[in-house]
Amino acid sequence: MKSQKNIPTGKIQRATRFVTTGVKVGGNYLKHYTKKAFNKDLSKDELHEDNARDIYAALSNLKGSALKVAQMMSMDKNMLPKAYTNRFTMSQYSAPPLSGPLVAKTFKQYFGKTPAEIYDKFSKEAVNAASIGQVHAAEIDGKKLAVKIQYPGVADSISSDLKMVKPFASIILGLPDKDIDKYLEEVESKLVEETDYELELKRSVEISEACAHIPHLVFSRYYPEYSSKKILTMDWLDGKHLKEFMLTDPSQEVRNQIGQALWNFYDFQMHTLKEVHADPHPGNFLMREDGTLGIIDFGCIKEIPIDFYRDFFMVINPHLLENEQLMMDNFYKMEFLNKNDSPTEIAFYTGVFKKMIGLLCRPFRSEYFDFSDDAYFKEIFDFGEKLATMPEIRNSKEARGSKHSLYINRTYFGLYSILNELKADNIKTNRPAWLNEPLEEASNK
Amino acid sequence: MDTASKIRKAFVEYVLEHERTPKSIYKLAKSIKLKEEDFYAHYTNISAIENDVWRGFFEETRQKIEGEEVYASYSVREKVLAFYYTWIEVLKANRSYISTLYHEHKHDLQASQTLASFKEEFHDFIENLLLEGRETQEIAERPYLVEMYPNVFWAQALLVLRFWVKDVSPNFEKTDVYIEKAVNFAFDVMGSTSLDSAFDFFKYAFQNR
Repeated sequence: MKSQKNIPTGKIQRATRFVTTGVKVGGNYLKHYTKKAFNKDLSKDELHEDNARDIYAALSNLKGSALKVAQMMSMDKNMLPKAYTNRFTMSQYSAPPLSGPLVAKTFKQYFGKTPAEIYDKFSKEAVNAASIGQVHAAEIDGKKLAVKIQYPGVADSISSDLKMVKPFASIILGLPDKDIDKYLEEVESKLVEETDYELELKRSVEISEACAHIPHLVFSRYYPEYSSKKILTMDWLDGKHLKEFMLTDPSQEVRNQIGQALWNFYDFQMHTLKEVHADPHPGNFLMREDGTLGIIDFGCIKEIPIDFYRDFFMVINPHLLENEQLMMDNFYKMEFLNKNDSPTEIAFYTGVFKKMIGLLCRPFRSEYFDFSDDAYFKEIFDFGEKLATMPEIRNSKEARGSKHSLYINRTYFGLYSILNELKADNIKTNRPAWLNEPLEEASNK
Repeated sequence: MDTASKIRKAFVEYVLEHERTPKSIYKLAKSIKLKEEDFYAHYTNISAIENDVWRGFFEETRQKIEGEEVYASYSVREKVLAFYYTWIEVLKANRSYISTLYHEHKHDLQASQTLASFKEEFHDFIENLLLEGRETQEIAERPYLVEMYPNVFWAQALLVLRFWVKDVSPNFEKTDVYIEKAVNFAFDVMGSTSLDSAFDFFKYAFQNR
């Protein structure tokens, strides 16, 4: 891997980079409309492709939290035109690494020893890069280890990075600044948590112990004695990332087994632990030929508040849509609807959300679901596109949806799209019983 | 401990306790029960001791990095990085002393001449690294300009020092980032860039009109 070339330093430099992007994006629109003047059929895809490339180039130079936001945007495939998604998915794999001496220095600072003194072997170059750190391969007594080291200063730069992402987020998502704030606060608090490796260690151990009974899942062992605030040592997990794994042409049986393990993992976290690994991008899962799934990176954990839990999952219950009163209550609680909405708005959004729920909850409507069905995902995608072009929504100055749903939605989007790419065609969509029972009874629980 | 290092130690302690440098040799000599004339065999003025303390920090740093096995396998860029990180570690143990001096010299250690011997040694050290860098092609051959590089690094070292003295982030994390970026920037500029090939091309085109 090539070592770090240049990261823009201060806020000013970062800002200039964003301005440059802004100019380029502006230019892309100009190009688009000029071409369009001559060719009415020109699709917006080319424009999106141009924009995505320039924004990605800018974000990837910023590293850290901006990259993280790019990742998040790439997760919410439905919120973004496809071109952005493809480009941003790349950001999940590459970020420029730290220099060897700084890695050595960080070790000396926390352990008073160099990596060479702690481990029998330690790779000089990073073998993998994460958005806030990088991974080195190491070995002790013949045991292969993965050592994650955090970039210095990441925690400090989060808030200033997010401030600069804001205008982009508000353009891409088409929302006013004040509404973006509500979500960015949630994102910021999660990002800050992610920079605390001691917390990550604690959660990794807790969740992997709690999930140990789920078949076909593999977790790393963590080594607190070789871990600190900025360094995390764990067992090396073998396996391939989703895209590479699919290239090896695994059998349908193996793919379903992995998919089922993934589904069960999330089902257990959502409904039993009420805290969930909320970063389901393909980089965090290692798939193996024997149909087992390695899970890494517990940096981003969303704890689900109990009140929110009931309201959120009630939506999955098919009986909800039949009970007008309960449904409207729920829509207000979930902040789909706001108290000051006009009757026209209420009617419009109720329709939209009913349709959306019907669509997104389809896997829960039957006992087994075929996630390899591209038509289903096309339907979701088209619905998203249609929403984005509806004047009522495009001109809406109001954000809808509770801030808690941000990470839960992202988790489900991630889960669905991994299962889709995995072409898992027979997943038992396990869920707790109360999600199927008539609601009067459920609401008493 | 030889007498010279005893004197340096006493000097540093004096600065720490009194929050200023001693005004005369007499006081300092008395504090370590040394006759003034014996003192002059080692140092003839206060500034010479100060100079030697800085040189001592440099020596300690160099010994530390060169003593590390991995150092030999580093690229020149990494060697410079390793130097700065270790240097700051050495300085960290003497932060109060340094910040006292820094304020006494009105934030300009360079002008006060107290860095003169350190500068000399640093120059030699960097020059050797630069030669190595030219061999490994990390540093582009640019006639005349290359001769200036040691001064550039010296200016950089002073910037790093100044940044660190003012740094209040936990563990001086910000200084780490500063070093990483400063060194990368320097090597990116000094390494072969598009400007070198542009110059090469236009020179060739001009000569073969």
